Amino acid sequence: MLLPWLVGALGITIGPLIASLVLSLTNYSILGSTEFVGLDNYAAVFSDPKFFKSMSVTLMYVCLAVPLQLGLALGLALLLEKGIRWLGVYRAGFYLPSLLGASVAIALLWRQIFKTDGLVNAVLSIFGVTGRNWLYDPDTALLTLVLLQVWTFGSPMIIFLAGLKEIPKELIEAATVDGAGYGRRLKSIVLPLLTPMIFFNLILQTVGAFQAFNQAYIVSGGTGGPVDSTLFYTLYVYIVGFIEYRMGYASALAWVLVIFIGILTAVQFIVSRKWVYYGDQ
Amino acid sequence: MIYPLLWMIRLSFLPESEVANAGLWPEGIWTGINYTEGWSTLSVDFTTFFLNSAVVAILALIGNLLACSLSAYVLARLRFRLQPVYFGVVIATLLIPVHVLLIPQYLTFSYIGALNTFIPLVLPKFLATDAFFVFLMIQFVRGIPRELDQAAFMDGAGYFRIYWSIILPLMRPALATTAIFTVIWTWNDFLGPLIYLTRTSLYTVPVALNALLSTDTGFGTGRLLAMSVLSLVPLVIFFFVAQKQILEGISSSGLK
Amino acid sequence: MKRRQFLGLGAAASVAALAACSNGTNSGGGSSGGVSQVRYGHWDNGSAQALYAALFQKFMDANEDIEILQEFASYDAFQERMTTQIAGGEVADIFWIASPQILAYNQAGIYHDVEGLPGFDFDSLDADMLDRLKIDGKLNTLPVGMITPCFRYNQTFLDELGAEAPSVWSWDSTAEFLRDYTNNNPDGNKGIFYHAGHDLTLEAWLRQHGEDLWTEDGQLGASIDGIASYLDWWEQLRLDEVTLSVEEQGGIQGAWNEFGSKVLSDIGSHNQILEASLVFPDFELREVPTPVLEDAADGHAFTYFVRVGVYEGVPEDRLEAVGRVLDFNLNSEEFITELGPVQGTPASLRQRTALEGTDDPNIQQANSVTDAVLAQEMRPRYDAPPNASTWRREYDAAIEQVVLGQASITDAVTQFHSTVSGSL
Repeated sequence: MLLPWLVGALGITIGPLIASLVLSLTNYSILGSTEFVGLDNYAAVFSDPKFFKSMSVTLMYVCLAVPLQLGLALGLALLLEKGIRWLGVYRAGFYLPSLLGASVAIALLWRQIFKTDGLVNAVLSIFGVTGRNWLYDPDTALLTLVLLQVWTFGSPMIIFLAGLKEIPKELIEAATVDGAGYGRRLKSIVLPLLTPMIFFNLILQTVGAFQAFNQAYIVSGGTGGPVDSTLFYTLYVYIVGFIEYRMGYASALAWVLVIFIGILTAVQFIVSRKWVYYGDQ
Repeated sequence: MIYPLLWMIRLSFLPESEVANAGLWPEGIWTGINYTEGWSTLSVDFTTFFLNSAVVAILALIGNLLACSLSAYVLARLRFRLQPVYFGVVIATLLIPVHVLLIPQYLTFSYIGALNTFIPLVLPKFLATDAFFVFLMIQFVRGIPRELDQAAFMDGAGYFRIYWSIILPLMRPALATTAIFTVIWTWNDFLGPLIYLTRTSLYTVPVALNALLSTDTGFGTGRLLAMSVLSLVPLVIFFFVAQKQILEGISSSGLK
Repeated sequence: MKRRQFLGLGAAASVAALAACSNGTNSGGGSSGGVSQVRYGHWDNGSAQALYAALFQKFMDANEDIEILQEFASYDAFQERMTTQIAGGEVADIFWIASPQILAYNQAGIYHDVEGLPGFDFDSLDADMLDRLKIDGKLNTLPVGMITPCFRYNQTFLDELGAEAPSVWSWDSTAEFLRDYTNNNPDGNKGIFYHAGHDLTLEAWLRQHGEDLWTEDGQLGASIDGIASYLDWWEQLRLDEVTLSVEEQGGIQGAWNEFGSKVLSDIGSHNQILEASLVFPDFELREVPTPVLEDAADGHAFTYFVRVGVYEGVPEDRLEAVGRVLDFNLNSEEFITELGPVQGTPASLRQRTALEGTDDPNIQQANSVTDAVLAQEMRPRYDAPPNASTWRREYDAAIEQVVLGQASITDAVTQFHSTVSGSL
C-alpha cells in the first residue's frame, strides 16, 4: 500500500531533501565547479548580518500575523457556524481574498490602498491623521504585509468550519438538554473537540508564515526593501541561491530554518499533548 | 473587505492610460478593451491557458484526495515501524523553503523526460507529497472514534475496506477542504509551471498573466487585471460547489 | 457504490491522462523526420511575444526543415527559468542574456563559440562591434540590439506651457530646465521621476568623468566620489521637489503608467519610448542622449548590447539550423520592420537601414538617439564580472538608505563600494 508513496517520496521529496542537505556542505554555485567545504556554510550563517536581519523580520511577521489571523478565523467560523441567512455568500465573501493568492494583481491593489493618496490615508484624513506611504516606510512596510496575511483569514476559517462540522450534533444536543448555555457548550464541548483543528491551523500558519515569500514581491518587487525591512527569510534564501548563485550557502540557510522551525514545531507538538483532544484517545 | 476586489474589477474596465493612477472609485469610461485585447495578447489565447490550468487542477485534485487520505489513514491508524520516519519526513517537507528543492526536483523530472508535460505538476499529488493535506487528514482521522473501525474489523473488514467504507465517508469535510485548497493553490501556482512548461501552448493561467506585464513601463496592467478577474471566476464557482460539502458534513454522510 | 464508481473512474481517467501527457516530446531541441527543432528562449513584453511567434511561423512556412520552439517569459521569470535550466543542462538552443548575467553565464560555460556560425551572415555586422562583444578573446554571443541611455520628455506638456527645451543638454542646463518647469507649470506637475537607480545613466555619468563602471580585469572601476557626485545631482533635485518624492513614487523607481501624466520627463533606456507611448498614446514624447558634462572625458559615449547566446550543448548537425534562425532574427529586414526596435536599435546594418525609412515618430526619436551616440568616438566598455551579478540590488539599497535619510551619500556609497568590491 505504501509502495507508490515510497517511490514518490524518494524521487520527489526525500531525494531532493537529501540533495539539498548534501549541497549545504558544498560551495555549489550552479555556475562553476563544486567542492566539499564541510560545515563552513553553517559557520558563515552565524556571522551573516543579513541572516539575523531576515530572521528578525520573519519572527516579527510570524508573531503578529499568526495570532491575529487565527483569532479572526476562529471567531468568524464560530459566528458563521450558527447558521445565519446567506451563509454561503458570507463564507465566500470572507474567502474571496484567499482565492487571489499573492498575485501581481494583489500587489497592484496593495500599492494603491497604502500609497500616499490611497484608501487608507483617505480614511485616516477623516480623523485628521496625516498619512504617509505605508508601503515605502521601513517602519510600516512589514505591518501592511501582516494586514495582507490577516486579510486572507479565509483559509484557516474554512478549516475551522470543517472541524466544527465534524463535532457530533448529539453531543451538543445532549448538553443543551442538560441546560448548558452557548458559552458553556463552547467551552466544554465545541472548543475541546476543535482543538485538533486549532492545533493544525497553528502549526500550518506558523510554518507558512515562516516561509512567507510572495508577499515580499508586493512591497518591494522582491528586493526585501525598503532597506531590508521586508527581507523575509525564504526571500533571502532565494536571493542567495538564485541571484547570487550561492546555492550551497542557500541550502545551509534553508536547513538552519528547518532545524529552527523543527525545534519550534516539536515543542508545539509536545505542548499539544496537554491541550489537544483527539477522539481516538 | 470586498472593496479591493470590486475596485480591481472596476479598474479592469478602464483604458490602459488610466488604470495605474485611478482614484478610490474612478468615474467615467467603462471599456471592455482590456478583456478583448488581453484574451489574445499572446500568440496563444487564454482559452488554451484556462484549459491547461483546468486539466492540471483536476488531476491534482483527484491525486490529492486519493493519496493524502490513504496516507493519513495509514499514519493515524496503523502501527508500523517506519511511522515516526514517515511523520518526520512529512513535517520536514513542510518546513524546508521550496527554492532549495527546486533544482534537485527539476533534475529528477528532467531525467525521466517529463519536462513540458504536466507530470511534474500532477504526479507528486498522486504520491501524497503534499504534506499539508496529509497532516490535515491525520487530524481528522484521529477525531474519528476508534471503536468504529474496531467494530468493522470484528466484522471481518480488511484495512482497505475500513478505509474505503468507514473512514473516507466520515472525512467528507476534510476531503472538501483539501479539494478547495488543492484547486486554489494549483490554480495559482506560478513557479512550477514556469520552470517545467516552456512552450506557450502549455502555459497555465498564472504564467500567461505574468507574461502580460512589462516590467519597464507597467504597460499591460489593464490587460493583466482583466485576465486576473477572469481567472477568479472558475475558482469562485468551484468554491461555491465545494463548500456545500463542508456544510453538509457528517450529518449526511451515512453514519446513522 | 456511486461514489466508488466515480472515484474509480477518476483514477482511471487520470492515469490515462498522465500517460497521454508523457507522450509529449521532450523539451530538448532535436531532430525528427528531417526537421530540426530549435528552442528559442527570450523575454520581452507580452505583445512582442505574439509578434515573435508570428514571425517564427513565417520562417517555418518558408523553411520546412526547421521548427522553432519559442520559450517566453517576463524578464525576471526568464532568468529564474534559465538558472534551473543551466543546473539541469536543459538550456534553450538560442537564449537571450540579461545584462548582469553575461559573464556569469560565461563562467557557467554555456556559450557555444559563434565565430563563423554556419547559416548566419556576418556581413552586416560591424567587425569592430563584434570585437567589442568578445569575452576572453572569443566571440560567444551575438548582438540583438543596442541600447543607449537617454533623457525622455513630454513635448505635449512643454507646448501647453509654451516652454522650450534647452538646445544643449548638459547636466546643469537639464537641472535648470527641470526646475523651471516644476516651478512654472500650473498643474503641479513634477520635472522628472526620481530615477537615480538607472544603471546605464550612472554608467554614462561615470564615463563622462573618465571612470569605468567595470574594468577590463573585472574590478569595480567607479570611485566612491564618482558615484557620490551622481547621487548628489539627484539629491539636489529631490530635496527641491523637482523630482517626484520617493514616498509618492512608492520607491526609488516610479511606474511610468502611474505617473506619466504628472511628470515632464524621465531618464532611461532609449528603446522604452515604444512602450511608453503605448501607455499614453496622446502624448508626444521626445528623446535626446543622456545629458553630457561640459568637459566630458574623451570617448565617453557607449551603447549596451542586448546579447543572445547559442547553447554549448547544441550538436554540430543542428548548428546550421540555429544559425539560420538567428540570421532571420538578427539580419532580416522583415523581422525588424514587423517587430520594431523593442530590444534596442538593431546591431545589424541591414536591419538598421530598414528602420530608417520608418514613419513612426517614436522609432524616429529612438533612431536619433542611437545615431547621435554612434557618431561619436567610443572607448571600450566592460560588463559586470560574474560575482557582481547583484550589484544593482546593492546600488538600489545604497540609494534607498540615502533617500530614507538613513545614511549620508558618502557613507552609503562607501558601503556599496566595499560590498561589491568584496564580492569580486
